[in-house]
Amino acid sequence: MKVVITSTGKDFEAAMDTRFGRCAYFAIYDSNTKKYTFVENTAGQSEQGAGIAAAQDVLKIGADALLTGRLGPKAKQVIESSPLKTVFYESGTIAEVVYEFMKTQP
Amino acid sequence: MKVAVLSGKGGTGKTTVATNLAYIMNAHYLDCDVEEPNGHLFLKPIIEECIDATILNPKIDDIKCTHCGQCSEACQFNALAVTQTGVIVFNELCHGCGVCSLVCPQRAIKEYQREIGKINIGTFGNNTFLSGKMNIKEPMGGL
Repeated sequence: MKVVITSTGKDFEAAMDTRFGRCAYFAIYDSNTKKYTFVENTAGQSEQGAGIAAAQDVLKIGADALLTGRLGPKAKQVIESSPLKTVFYESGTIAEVVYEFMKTQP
Repeated sequence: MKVAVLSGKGGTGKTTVATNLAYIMNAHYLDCDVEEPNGHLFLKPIIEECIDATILNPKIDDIKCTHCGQCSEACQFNALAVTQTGVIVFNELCHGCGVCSLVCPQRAIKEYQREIGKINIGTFGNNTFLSGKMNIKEPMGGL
């Protein structure tokens, strides 16, 4: 399973970014290989509609779940049009959030 | 001579200065403060006509659309999101540039005029009075 986490930095010790559209990076965790990859959130630089563009990019990654702090109404509309499962966390590092999430998975 | 009165700060007296200038210069008056036009309070115009103010927005033909995503790639304002199920249009972000309909390989995008407010046309004395008013919830006053 592929999990996308909004991240403030480029390693799994970095804090999760509670913002979605304007987060610095997307961390992508693959539960099969247990490896992390990081991509810059280029949509975050948008003057307007950062959440929409970021949601579009997340859908392109083809993940099964999204872990973040909160979703704006427009980003939510885009995300909800796909089967992607969204889970909200208040804080924590990327590794902690992934650990918490994986505990809930069968 | 055309004089524009503007300020980035509210409550500084733009309307006071503009209406008084129009009055003493015996000039036409255009209230471009579409979010809160107040010039009419001072100039007391007779409004003769009220027309729609519109912007071009895209309309997607769901039958022709193949969800290729080129429209959303091209949109500089992130007003379009392409998902597996279709295209979501965020009208309030659209600047009406029309690039989406130009790039669509299926010609599935048509533009239509969407009403975003009203323009009041009238007179005060011998001069024309124009005043725009944007609909509530329209965020694009600065366009």
